[in-house]
Amino acid sequence: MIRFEHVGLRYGIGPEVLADISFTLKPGSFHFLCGPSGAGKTSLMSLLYLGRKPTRGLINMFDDDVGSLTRTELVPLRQQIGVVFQDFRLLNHLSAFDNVALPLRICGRPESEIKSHVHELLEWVGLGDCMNRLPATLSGGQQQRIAVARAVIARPRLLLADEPTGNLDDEIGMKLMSLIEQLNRMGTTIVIATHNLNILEQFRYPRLVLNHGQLRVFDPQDETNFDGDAA
Amino acid sequence: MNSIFIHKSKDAHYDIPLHQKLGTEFLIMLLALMTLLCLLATSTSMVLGKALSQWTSGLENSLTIEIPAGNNAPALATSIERALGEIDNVKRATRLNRDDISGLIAPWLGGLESQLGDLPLPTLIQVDLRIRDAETIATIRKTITNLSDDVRIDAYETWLTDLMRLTTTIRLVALALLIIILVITAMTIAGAVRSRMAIHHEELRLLHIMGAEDRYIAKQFRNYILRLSLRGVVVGSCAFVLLLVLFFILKPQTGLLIPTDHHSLASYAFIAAVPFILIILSFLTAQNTVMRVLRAMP
Ligand SMILES: Nc1ncnc2c1ncn2[C@@H]1O[C@H](COP(=O)(O)OP(=O)(O)O)[C@@H](O)[C@H]1O
Ligand SMILES: [Mg+2]
Repeated sequence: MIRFEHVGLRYGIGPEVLADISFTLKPGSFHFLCGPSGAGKTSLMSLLYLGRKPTRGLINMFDDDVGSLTRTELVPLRQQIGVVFQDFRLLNHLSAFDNVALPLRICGRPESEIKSHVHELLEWVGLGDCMNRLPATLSGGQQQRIAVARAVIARPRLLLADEPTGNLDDEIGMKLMSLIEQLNRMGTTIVIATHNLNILEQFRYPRLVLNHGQLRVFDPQDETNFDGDAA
Repeated sequence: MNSIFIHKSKDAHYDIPLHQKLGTEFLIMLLALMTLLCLLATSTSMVLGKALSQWTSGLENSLTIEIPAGNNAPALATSIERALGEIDNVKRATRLNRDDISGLIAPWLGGLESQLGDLPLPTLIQVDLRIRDAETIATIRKTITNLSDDVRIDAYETWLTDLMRLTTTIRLVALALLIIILVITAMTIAGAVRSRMAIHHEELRLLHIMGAEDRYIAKQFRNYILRLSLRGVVVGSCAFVLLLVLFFILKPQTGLLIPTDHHSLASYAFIAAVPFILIILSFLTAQNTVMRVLRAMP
């Protein structure tokens, strides 16, 4: 349901950050995206959340060829993608509640439904007391939980998380991971960019490994291609 | 429109922080000034137009025939009157008697009118027309020239055309002023919207990535601009009303010969429409500008 064919990306006239990348993500699959810093994880994510157009190649998402869609036709695709940005990108003038409510408001859901959903989720991630606080008054970990809550609130078909556990102590990191796994069990396709070895060891999902603009798929469950240095 | 007035509580539901004061609030002052200017331009042209048409209305449908003093003047006058009576468009031809004429020239004589008895005065016939048109005036000229070459006809043509031209010019100038003001207003609003969109580029991009439709984003900018313009237009209109009140209070002192009543309903309606035109203009400009900028996003 998500297919990249010979995708390349360069910024301006610079070198290709991503070169000839091809892979397929099945619906409901769970992948880690790993590779050293500067390998292009964030860049690949931006292609996946349709924030950028590739400089070459084909991207097929939810059975649509992204390149052939108009601006308005991309809107429903974007609404089915949840993103946790590396730098969170919370709206600083909105309360925790309003930040998490944003995707639902964009989809035009009724305010009563928004209220109950957001309350429930914020309670679940342990931010029930902080609903009306502005992001600036919250700790990095709390902000990250808001970012994750915002990404999952609308039950996206595809969840992208860019280093989502970087700022978290382990207990909350695990709680967020289990939230994401729960979403995955309900059918959401997951891609998590990370270089957190703890997480990679603990959750043995297949990995998309980026290096020098090339992508390799590596499955720790499948001993035949295990070469141990994939993280 | 309701939400604009009710929206007093907190600045909820600007996902983009448009409530932050970042310089675009000058639009309130701008709109106030522009509203005042528009209202002054339209009302001034309306009042001047009315004044001119009042000054000309006495002359518009009439002309004067002047028969030089002489022995045959009364007979000539009678035949001219008869000839005029046969022209369709002539409503009435009145011969002015000596008293009327001495009344007319009295100001130039300075109390000497008692001596007029001896002066040879011309005979004047005032002709009232049903409708003033060039054809009728030409017919009258021809008819009268046939009767005598000495008779002078004053149809006030140069006078009237000059005044009409003045009226048209005033109207055109007012219209041009109005258009210029509207264009400037639209351009300034477009600039303000663009600058706010540049300031909030990050937030816009975020909403865009989350799948916000263009009109979801446009609505926020539109409402923001609408709120500013409404305030501006209200301030401008109040200033105009204040000026009007001041004018009516001072009118007796200034002694200006300006007609302030008996304007057509249409002119009042036009003045009343000015604030709405400005509000609609800002609304449309904001909407249009946002959509244009958004269309440039991937
Ligand atoms: N907006 C950008 N403009 C130009 N170069 C960029 C931009 N974003 C990333 N890059 C470059 O692309 C390369 C990959 O960056 P990135 O995708 O952020 O890697 P990662 O997330 O794996 O650390 C880096 O060399 C970075 O300098
Ligand atoms: Mg990165």
